[in-house]
Amino acid sequence: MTRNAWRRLVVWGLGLAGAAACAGEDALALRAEHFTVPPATGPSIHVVVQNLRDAVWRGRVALRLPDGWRWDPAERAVALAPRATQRVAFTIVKGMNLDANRYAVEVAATGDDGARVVRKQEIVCASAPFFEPRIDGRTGDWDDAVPVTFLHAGKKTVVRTYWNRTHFCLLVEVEEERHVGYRKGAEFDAVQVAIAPREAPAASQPEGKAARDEFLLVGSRSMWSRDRCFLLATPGTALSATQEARELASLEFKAARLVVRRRGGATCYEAAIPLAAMPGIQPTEGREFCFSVLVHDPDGTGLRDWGEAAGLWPRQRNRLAWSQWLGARWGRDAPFDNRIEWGFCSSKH
Amino acid sequence: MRRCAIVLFLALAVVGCGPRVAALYQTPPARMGSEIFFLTSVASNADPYEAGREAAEDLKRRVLKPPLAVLVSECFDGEARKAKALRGVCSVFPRQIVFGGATYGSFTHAGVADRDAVTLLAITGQGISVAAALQQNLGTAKLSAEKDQAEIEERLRNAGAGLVAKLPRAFERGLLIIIADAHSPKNGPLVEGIKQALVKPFPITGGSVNKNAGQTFVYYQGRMFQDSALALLLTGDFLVSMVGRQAKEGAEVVATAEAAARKAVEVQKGKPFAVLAFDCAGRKGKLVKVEEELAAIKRGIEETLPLFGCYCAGEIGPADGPDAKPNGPSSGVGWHIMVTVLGR
Repeated sequence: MTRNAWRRLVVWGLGLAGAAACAGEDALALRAEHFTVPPATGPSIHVVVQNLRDAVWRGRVALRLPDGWRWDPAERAVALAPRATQRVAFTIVKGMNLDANRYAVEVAATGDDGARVVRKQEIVCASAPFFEPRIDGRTGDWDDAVPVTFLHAGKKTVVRTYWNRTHFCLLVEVEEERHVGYRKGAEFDAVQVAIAPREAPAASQPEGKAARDEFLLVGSRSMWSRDRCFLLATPGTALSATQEARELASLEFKAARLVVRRRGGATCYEAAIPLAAMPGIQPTEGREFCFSVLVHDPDGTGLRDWGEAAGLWPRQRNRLAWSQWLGARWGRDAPFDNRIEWGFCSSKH
Repeated sequence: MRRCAIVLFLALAVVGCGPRVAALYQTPPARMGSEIFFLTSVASNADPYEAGREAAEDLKRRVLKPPLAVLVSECFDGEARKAKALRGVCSVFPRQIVFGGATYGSFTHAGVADRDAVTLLAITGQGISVAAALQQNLGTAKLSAEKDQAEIEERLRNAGAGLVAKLPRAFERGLLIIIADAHSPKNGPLVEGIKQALVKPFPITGGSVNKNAGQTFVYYQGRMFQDSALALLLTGDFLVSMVGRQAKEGAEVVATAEAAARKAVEVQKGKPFAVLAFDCAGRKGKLVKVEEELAAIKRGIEETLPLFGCYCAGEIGPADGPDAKPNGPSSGVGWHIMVTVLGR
């Protein structure tokens, strides 16, 4: 076989594979959003529907929730312009809070042409109850928080949040063999969090501005140094600046309280971030906001991304959504967008 | 023997230190055709005592006769600050007539007060009678809905029945207001228990107190109670109209508030003289501007009508639904605004 014949064969093969992929591609992308208040209180649950085609999509979207639950309506008629996205609301008539905080849901969309797209997901209640914990490295007063657990490379990450009139508080438990503390010029473990108002726009152009507050929580390397919180971005920070791997020393945010402790096989990052530093966030019961977490574990699992576990679509990876910093090891793919639903609630009880 | 005496002494001392309240608070029977007044006041102040005192002083200046009852809704953080706010109110009015609960804020014609504020409603006049009772130890705070659902429901039904058993038996017309440390959906079985004990249909409204950790207080005769429910029975020759509307999204919250207020006025057969609104704090959380909901309520009622509203963790009244009718049977639900219009 000549070289040209081989080339033609490869091109033909690639074309065939591409056509097959196109034919198999769903017309829609579906995602059930997480509850932002406990489901027993009967909140709305939203399904995000995106039309992936260049033609109008018409059909019905239906939801299936755990056994024994009731919701309304059973299905909703949806019409989507080409490439458009819509948030479809269903009401929980009867739900139940589960201690494990994992709820199996199934979203199904049936087009008027009969084509059906189904997505099965496990969603959580992503919510911060009202409470004022002591930031002291002891985790006993986090029992009334709602644990959001996700696995990456067989290791567990548990995120718990609280709020009160003055602080947004979080406890992130990172299961890992060992903790690598902060040292200039080296790679180290860290927890990176982004918080933004619910309606914050996506970080889409490098010449744009950030719409989030972004913090980095870092444990000390020795008993003679301290745990540190760094402020990586605030609303208005140039996105181009966030993409430069910056030295952290000048970004320290001393108004936050942070204690990092090893507990069992996990590193616990316990922090209280003053709400005064985030004037765009209106903390009140029932209000939604955007929140996401990246766990940097360079000597272990690599980057753990709540956005991936939260069920964002692959096309929702967004490098501009997260700041670069010296000491981080990023994966081959960009992390997922940071705008993931979270809520302020009153209590999980 | 000596040890027993010491234990007995300590037990009596502890009992003696507990809040002393009457099992039943009751004013003289209403006189047919006599006057009824509802008046509201609000005070916001970083000092909780001053907020309570200012609101009470303002009310006292305006009431013509001593109130039969003063209903308190306050939204200070923490037990200590709540206690101060209550003390401020009780520095002006006798403890015996002060009832209410910790809420997520309140609203009157003057505006929304959802931070460091005390809102009061005075009920006065010879045309109305007030009875109040408290049911303590509901016993469900530590139970898990996942594991103890049946027990929670049974305890709350019993608590509801127990509350009614403490009230005077002979009443025909009026309104029962329930303020409870039993949050949606726990308020459901509580109200079921109340309804079963009442036997005959009777208008019931009310709300669940704030359920933030450390804030779950019911106020009975100027004292603070947790894990409790309060019943305030208003009787007299007045008419009650009630409408409940549910919403979980911003624009619907505003629309349902106006619809509920307008409908409650429309179906009131008498001349309206007061409006009560028990509203869901979760609804408030769906609004970018919380004042929009109040503006909607005000569009549905007359500006001259006294309006007392509060944001709760569960609401009691005629639940919304496909078959919902004004003045329908009450139940304990969430995400509602329950509007009650009193008229004669």
